[in-house]
Amino acid sequence: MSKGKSITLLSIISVLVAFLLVMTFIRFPIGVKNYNSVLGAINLDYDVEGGTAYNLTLASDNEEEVEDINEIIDTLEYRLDALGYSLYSVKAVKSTAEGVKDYDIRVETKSTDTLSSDIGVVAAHGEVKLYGGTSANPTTEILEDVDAIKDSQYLGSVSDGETTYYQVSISFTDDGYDALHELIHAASESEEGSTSYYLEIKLGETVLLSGSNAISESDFTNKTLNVYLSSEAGAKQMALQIRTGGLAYKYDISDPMEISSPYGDNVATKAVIVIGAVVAIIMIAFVLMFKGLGLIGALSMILFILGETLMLIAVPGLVVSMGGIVGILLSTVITAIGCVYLLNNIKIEFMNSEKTVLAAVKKGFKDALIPTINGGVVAGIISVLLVAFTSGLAKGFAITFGIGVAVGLITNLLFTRMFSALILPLASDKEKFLNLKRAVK
Amino acid sequence: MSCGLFKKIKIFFIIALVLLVAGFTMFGVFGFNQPIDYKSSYEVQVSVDQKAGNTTTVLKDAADEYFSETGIKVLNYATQSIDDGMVVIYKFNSNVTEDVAGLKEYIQAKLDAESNVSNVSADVVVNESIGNNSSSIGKLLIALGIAVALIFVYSLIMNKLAGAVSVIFASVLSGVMFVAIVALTRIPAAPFFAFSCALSIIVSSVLSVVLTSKYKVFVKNYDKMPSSEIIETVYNKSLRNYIFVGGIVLVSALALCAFMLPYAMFAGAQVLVAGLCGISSAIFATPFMWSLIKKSK
Repeated sequence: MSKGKSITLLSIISVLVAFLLVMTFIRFPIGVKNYNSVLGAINLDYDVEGGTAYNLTLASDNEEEVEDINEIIDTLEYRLDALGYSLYSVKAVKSTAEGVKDYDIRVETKSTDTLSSDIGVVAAHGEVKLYGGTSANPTTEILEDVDAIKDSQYLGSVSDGETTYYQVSISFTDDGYDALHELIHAASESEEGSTSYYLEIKLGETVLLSGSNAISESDFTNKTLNVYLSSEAGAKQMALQIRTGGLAYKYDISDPMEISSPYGDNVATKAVIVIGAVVAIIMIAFVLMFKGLGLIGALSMILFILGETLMLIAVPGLVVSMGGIVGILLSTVITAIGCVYLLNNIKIEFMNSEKTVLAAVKKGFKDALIPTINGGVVAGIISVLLVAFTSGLAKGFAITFGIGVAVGLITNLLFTRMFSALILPLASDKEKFLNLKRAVK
Repeated sequence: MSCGLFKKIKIFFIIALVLLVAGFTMFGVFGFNQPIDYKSSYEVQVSVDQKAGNTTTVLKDAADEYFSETGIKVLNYATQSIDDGMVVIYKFNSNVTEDVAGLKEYIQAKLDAESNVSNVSADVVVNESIGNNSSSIGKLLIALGIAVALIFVYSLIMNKLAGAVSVIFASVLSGVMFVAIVALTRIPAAPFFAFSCALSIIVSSVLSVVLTSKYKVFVKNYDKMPSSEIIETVYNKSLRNYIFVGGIVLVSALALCAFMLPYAMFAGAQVLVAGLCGISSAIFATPFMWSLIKKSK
């Protein structure tokens, strides 16, 4: 590549990178509004930016004495998992004052639009009961002596073109289905003429499945009734409550309280500073160790951190927790390690052969290709499996680490090569610039 | 195998054996050390019923001063903001009910002394707390077990049997060394244990895969070179890389400690241990197993 072309391309890339750096990290006012930067758009989890807490206190009209508080904690944690909360804290607290024997429960998690109703669902009290009859919103309890419902699952969204619905499947046991089938059949064969049958499912006083629409035998497939709701949160809540029922004990739910991060103050700001400092140290170490070659590596690291940051908002639904922050930091480390391996390869290739600088650089990249991909694949396998099998901090770590490893692979295989092709034509003495030496014979 | 590298490998395995025995004994007797939020503990809730003026700042400062003057060690704290006030929750290992007997009066006196607030009431409640007790160790072991199997198959395809066995041996050794060292040094395990353990395996397997790829290149290009000479040559050529990797891991661990937050420091300590286990396993266990298998053929 000619010198002029290199300078032109480097200038264009520099302007582009500078623009992206400003848009990623700097906040500034635009007219009456504020631009909050890409960093400001990253969704943070409750352990980084704080969230909302609710206190659950045993109601004065609670009838049963709490036997095992750990079982309640486990149940609440299971339900929060089922509703999609990846990070939360559920603690039982009891005053040390004399005479206090009941535990309160404190639930802390990320603030969401549906948190208030979700907590209501998680802490709901009572049993799931079925009501049926030939008029809408029936009040007659049915199937009291039968264990009627086997399972209830949220199946996802379905669309009829214009409107999106959220599907819940309610599976009945054999006995439950047979008994319900008899009731529906009886209604359709009644002496007064064929009448519709209405089914309502309630948890305590809360209506889970509204009895305003009639059901028939054709609504069932393999003893499963599919129901369609207009809100995703509502569908998930219904599926959970029908499946697990209510708590055996009645709790009053406090008003929401805003809480700070359990890890301390300004966690997000400190994370940005620390990761920035680590990247700066890596870049300085590159230049000190490898001189001109290190400059190529350092420039690639800038693109890596830009790419990683942009991916944090590009991946839908990604929420960054403390585990995610550690994942970003460690994927930066792994990328730096890969870059060092690559640059060292070039040095060793030049040292041990009679090749020209450009030929050594080309061979060095070629020889490093397979080991770099190998390392990326291994790290990727572990990340994918951690995402699939774990939850909470470990999952958060695996997601950002996996994204970082992928971006790092592209950085090391593509951007480093690009910068070497652009920068080398500018150096009059390439050996001196790249600090390459032949082996002493 | 040459004397220099062989000696180092011998020392590594002796140290690893001592750490494994000591660490797993400690684990068997005491289990892991858990931080305050993940075990039964005590908390002191100090609260005010107003947000006017600098009430909330006075509340926290007064409580911090009291604990400092009376020598009570606070392990962590969190704040809760309510519509008509604020609660600060301080966390302790032991029951401090008697130690904080004068806290309420102390805070109230400080609040009363503030000229820009009036009729502010402070309250102090000491609670016993049962922490988060859910554990994901089972799922972690499943994920890592499947990962090790898949990595073995991948290494088998890329680097043949010697390479694959070496990678798996080094990765598993790294993982168990990490567990042993965390148990021995009493670094708080939760909540970062899962991914730190995964990290030790990741570092070890990535470095081992790269190492065995290099061995494969040497075997291909210098088929008469003995395996001991191959691993010695690769070790000498890669030493600078290992030092750099170790340095970067240390910088990352220090970076986490630079948060100056307890949990970040736990994460930093675990990252350092995980990194060192991964690097040392890759440097010493991989060539040992690789040359062993090559010689047995």
